Amino acid sequence: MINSNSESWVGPEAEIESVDRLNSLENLLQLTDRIKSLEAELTQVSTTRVLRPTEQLDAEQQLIAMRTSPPWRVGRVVTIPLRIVQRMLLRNSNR
Amino acid sequence: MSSLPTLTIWVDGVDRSRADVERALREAARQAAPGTEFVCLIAADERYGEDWPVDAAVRVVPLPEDDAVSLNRLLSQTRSDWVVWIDASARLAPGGLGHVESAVARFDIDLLYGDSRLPGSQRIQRPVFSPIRLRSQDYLGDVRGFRVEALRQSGGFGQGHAGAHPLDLSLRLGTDVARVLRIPEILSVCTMPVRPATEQHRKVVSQFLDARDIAAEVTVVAEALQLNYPLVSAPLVSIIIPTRGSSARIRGTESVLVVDAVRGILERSTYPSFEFVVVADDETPQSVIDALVCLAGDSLRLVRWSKDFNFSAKMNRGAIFARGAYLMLLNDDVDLITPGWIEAMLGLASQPGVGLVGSLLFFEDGTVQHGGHVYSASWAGHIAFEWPADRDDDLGSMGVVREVSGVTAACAMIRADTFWQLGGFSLDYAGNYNDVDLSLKVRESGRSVIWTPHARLYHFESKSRIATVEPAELTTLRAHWGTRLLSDPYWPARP
Repeated sequence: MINSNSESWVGPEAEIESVDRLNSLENLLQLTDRIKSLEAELTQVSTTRVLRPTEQLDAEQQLIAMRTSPPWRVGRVVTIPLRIVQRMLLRNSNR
Repeated sequence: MSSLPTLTIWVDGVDRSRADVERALREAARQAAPGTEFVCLIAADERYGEDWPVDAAVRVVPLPEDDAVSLNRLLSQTRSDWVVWIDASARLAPGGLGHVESAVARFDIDLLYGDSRLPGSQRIQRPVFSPIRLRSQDYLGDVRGFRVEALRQSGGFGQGHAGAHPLDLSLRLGTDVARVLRIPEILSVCTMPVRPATEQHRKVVSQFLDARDIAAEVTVVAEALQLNYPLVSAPLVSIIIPTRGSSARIRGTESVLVVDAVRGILERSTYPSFEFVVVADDETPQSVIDALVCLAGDSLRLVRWSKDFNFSAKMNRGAIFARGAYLMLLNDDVDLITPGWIEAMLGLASQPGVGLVGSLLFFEDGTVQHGGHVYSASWAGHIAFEWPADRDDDLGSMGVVREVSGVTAACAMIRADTFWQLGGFSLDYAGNYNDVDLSLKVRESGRSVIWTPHARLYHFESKSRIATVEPAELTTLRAHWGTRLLSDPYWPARP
């Protein structure tokens, strides 16, 4: 029986050798999950992940969709002055 | 200097009208580079003259009933790197051949296919390559490309497969999924998104599975193939049900959910070997516990939960007490519809490479609650949510076993050793997205997640339930799996 409250149900509970054993198995699952989660996060930021051809084409399609989207276009228009200034500064620094 | 891969166009005109064949050839010739080989396959009893209305030399090949010898001879004679196979009932969409040429020049692949358009303007977006789905349905469309060298190495055209060669070749060349390309462009204008399964398709799939020592009974059901994977033994399945013994009104009568779920399984399941692992909150009424003990007897393993609510932790505890080689993750508010639900899911779960299997769930009113998960725009939802039971998409996806991005843990089966290898459910997700995370862990491990329409249950979750989503859970999910949640390869966005 595991930490039952005094007013809780009673019944033929499944047995395990000890509470320590239960905790240790729960910890094992938790630690394994932590490793898997970290691996997943690492994959997210990895620059070396090799995309399959289908994934690569899909990613390119998504980029095209993003670059033709209204928010992207509006952003390009709004940042025109900034980009002109940037270009002028770059030109001056190259002289 | 390496030259670009060359294409030969094969137009399959068997059982197609002369007008269809000419139209398909004309469009292909318009798009093809000068010097491209054209082959027109026709039935042996057809008589075609030489007056083709296309500006290209077309080799007309009458095929006998068993056409493998003729096709293999053609294959041995071709000097091209790729065969582009076009069913004459379809034709190349404008720019379609260009997409193919560009793809074969860029990628080292063996098989390609793409999207289609119906004669109006409706686009048919095809999912990424799904070997399991291909066994039930030839969903790759009327235009596909086969690398000639790969075709030769795989043994070429199979005998007795007339009318189903594209499926046969796709199954064999698709054994390495990484070498299959889905081009996300419209390659063809077709008359029907998917051709109905035929006896020839059935034979092809049976032979393909036989060659790989996979036991399966394949039958044509409606417009698709249904595969039944016979079980050589009956491994113990542990049905893990977390509960607090709640009651609800179901179909007008008061129901103690977990008790009725267990009773339904005991009375109607046909599978002989299972146990219940019920993880019950301290607050569970004694009458519920008594009823479960009375109903399930020795097949019940009662496990106490005394901590705060955490679905993931409760399921993990259930898994610790489970003795089965397979775990059935199950909510307490379900009622089974198909008595053979465990067999259907177990047959799939025991296939090589399969990690997690989900089912078709209905709301109480008969509308669909779950047809697999769809992950898109950094969000997770259910395929076919609230669809009427008889509704389907253009590809007939609701009637076929298929790979999906994920499945709900309201009813899902996983091998116990896989569950342990992946760390079970993540405690980061106490209430939501725990099944999304588990599904993505399964896929990240190289295994696939499969959904089947042949295991059907009611899930009495309220349609109007507003899930309390903890922002932290969503943030964690996006941090772990951000790029996997952007667009769903198995359920492309429907325009």
